Amino acid sequence: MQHNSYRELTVASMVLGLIQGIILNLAFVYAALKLGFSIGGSTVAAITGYALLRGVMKKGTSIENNINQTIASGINTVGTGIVFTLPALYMLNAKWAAAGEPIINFSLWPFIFSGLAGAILGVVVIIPLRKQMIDLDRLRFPSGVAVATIIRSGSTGLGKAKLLGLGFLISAIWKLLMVAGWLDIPHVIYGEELHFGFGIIPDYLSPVLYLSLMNLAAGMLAGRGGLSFFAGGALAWWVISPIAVALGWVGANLSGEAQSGFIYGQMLRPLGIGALMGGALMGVVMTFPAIKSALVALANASKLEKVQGVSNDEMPFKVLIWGLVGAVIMFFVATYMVAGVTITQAILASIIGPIWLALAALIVAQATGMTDISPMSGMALITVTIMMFILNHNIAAAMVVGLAVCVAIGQAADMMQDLKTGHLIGGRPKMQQIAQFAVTWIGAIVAIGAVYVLWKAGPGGANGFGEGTSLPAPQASVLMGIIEGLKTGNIPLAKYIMGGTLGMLLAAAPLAGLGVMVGLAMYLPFSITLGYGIGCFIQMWILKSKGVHFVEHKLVPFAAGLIIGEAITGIGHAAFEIIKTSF
Amino acid sequence: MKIFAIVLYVISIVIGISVSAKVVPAGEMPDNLMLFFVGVIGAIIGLILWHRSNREEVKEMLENAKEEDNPLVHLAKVKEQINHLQVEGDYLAAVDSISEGPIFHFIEESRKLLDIFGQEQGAQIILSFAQVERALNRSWSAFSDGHIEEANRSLQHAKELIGNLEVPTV
Repeated sequence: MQHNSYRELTVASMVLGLIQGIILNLAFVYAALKLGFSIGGSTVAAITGYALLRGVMKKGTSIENNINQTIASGINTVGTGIVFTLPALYMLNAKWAAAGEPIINFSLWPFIFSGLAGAILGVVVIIPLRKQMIDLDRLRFPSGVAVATIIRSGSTGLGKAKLLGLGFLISAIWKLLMVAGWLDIPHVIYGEELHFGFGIIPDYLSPVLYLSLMNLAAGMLAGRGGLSFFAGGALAWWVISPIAVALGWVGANLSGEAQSGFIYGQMLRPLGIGALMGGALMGVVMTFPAIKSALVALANASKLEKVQGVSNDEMPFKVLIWGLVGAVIMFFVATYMVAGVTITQAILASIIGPIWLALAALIVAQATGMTDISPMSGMALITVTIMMFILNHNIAAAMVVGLAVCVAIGQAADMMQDLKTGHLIGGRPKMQQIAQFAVTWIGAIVAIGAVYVLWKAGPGGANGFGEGTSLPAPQASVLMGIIEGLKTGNIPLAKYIMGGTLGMLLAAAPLAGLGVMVGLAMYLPFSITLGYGIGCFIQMWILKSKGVHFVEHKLVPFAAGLIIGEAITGIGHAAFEIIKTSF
Repeated sequence: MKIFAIVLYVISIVIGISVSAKVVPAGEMPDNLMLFFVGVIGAIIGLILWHRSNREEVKEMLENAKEEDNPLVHLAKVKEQINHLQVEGDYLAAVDSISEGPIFHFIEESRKLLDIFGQEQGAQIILSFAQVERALNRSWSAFSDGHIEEANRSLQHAKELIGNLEVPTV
């Protein structure tokens, strides 16, 4: 096939994506240190790309805009993996120095290496995963659908554009009302949640609904396919939780939110992490023949290109092999550069690290594919736990691998969303992957540089973020607490093993992704799962009463608008909060 | 049989997860492990029966050839409609109609191909079909961007791909 005249991977799309990616990366690193959360940049990039490529340049195409948003979100997402991990090391050092305890001597170079390895591996692992999850499992990837809707909106007629706009407006206004607290009612609506227990439904049944239209819309896009996620939440909070209370497994002195907090933190969350791992592992085993088929298809496409000179849409198979080899070497170099790491430990870390990373990428890609939610903090926790064990409790070395894994799984999830967009608008995966390979590493350098500069901006060239500063870094504080817990050996191993066994049994059921979905539902607060489930039921009801045409032409653009509206308002709110607290 | 298998599986999973929830000190295993293993074994038996009844269902479906449940029937319709498609008139609506009609129904039922032909061959058909779908989507985008030549080229590519899509004999 010849594609010469139809603009796709162009200098304009790459430069625009690069500029937007760097800006978004810096902004979200700062926002994540300030507020504790980050936001994907695909929607912003797609809208800007639409305006600049088509509006200003007058020659942009849909698939060219897709390359722009792929690059922008790729560079931006790398920052998320870094900002949730690296600051924890700085903050631990500051805390231990203040307490007169020995500190960790570390250099930034291993982290730069691991950031680059993670960025590359994140793109590499999704080469076969794309075929598995987008082509074979047909996962919905709600944000990917939303971005495709934006890109196509100019060509799909005024009706769809209006619905997209209406969804955007409703969601933006709703988000504003929520963050401003104007609808808050004491004990009923607060913190963007509706507490509908009213003293009648006990807290251990988690009568809480997350009032996010984005969450609802993700469920509306998933429909019947997302029900396993809701079922997992219902099983956790409407079956296991009351059983645990009835059998007296929850301390009698606990009641109300403390009781539900105990059930969540001590029972469901660790079981959920175990189920996520077991589910992903068994998922690979169960679908191995299909994965093999996907790899064979990739290899055959490469051969055909070589022998017959036919241009194909797939990344050459050798990229997968060389990417893996290169990343393993970088893992080894990064780990070995850390003081106190032996050559055997570095070899072990460079073998186990990428294997675990591939599994974690599979978990995160599957989770985002169905729900738009990425369990990154759980994956970081497991990585650091495994690596602390392998690397003889060397915290800096464990964090080097942890950073690589977080960067890679963030990349994998983002790239998968981008590839879903590409599938829907007919972009070539190879072009998107080349673009991401070419520039994604920049995100690692930008984000590590930003964290370093912000830390050094503190009094005396340190303590620029953390407790007591204007940048509290909430996510890194959580990881810091986990590392301190690991030092004392406080790991709920029994829960991980039992959850893992059940996750494997769930994944073996003839329902795609059941193990990972139930694990994710147990890992997340039920308020999110409930809102998502309501969205699923709404879509199923509309599909039954109005048909598939109505769903595709009315519901999908409206739901996409709801997702975009909350994302954009969320970014605006983050910027506003930063400005407000800075002056 | 299927209902029994699912009920046994679900109850066993609920037993297993509920038992696992008991909090024990770090490094220790709970004292109700026996019940946990009962749940695990029950779930395994339920799974075996569930998979077996699914295979029987597919066999029966192929024998009775119920149109709306059979992915191969939808695949044939996709093939026929794409082959008749031309880049002219309200092309976007014509592509949408195929996407929401036979393509949608094929995707809904496509996992049955894994039971019919086995994971490897079944996956091959679904993966090849995804290429057809993407080429058709590209044709849609090109037409909407005003690139008629590319729209034609991509549609031709979709026709070639679906023409080459080989379905083994059941």
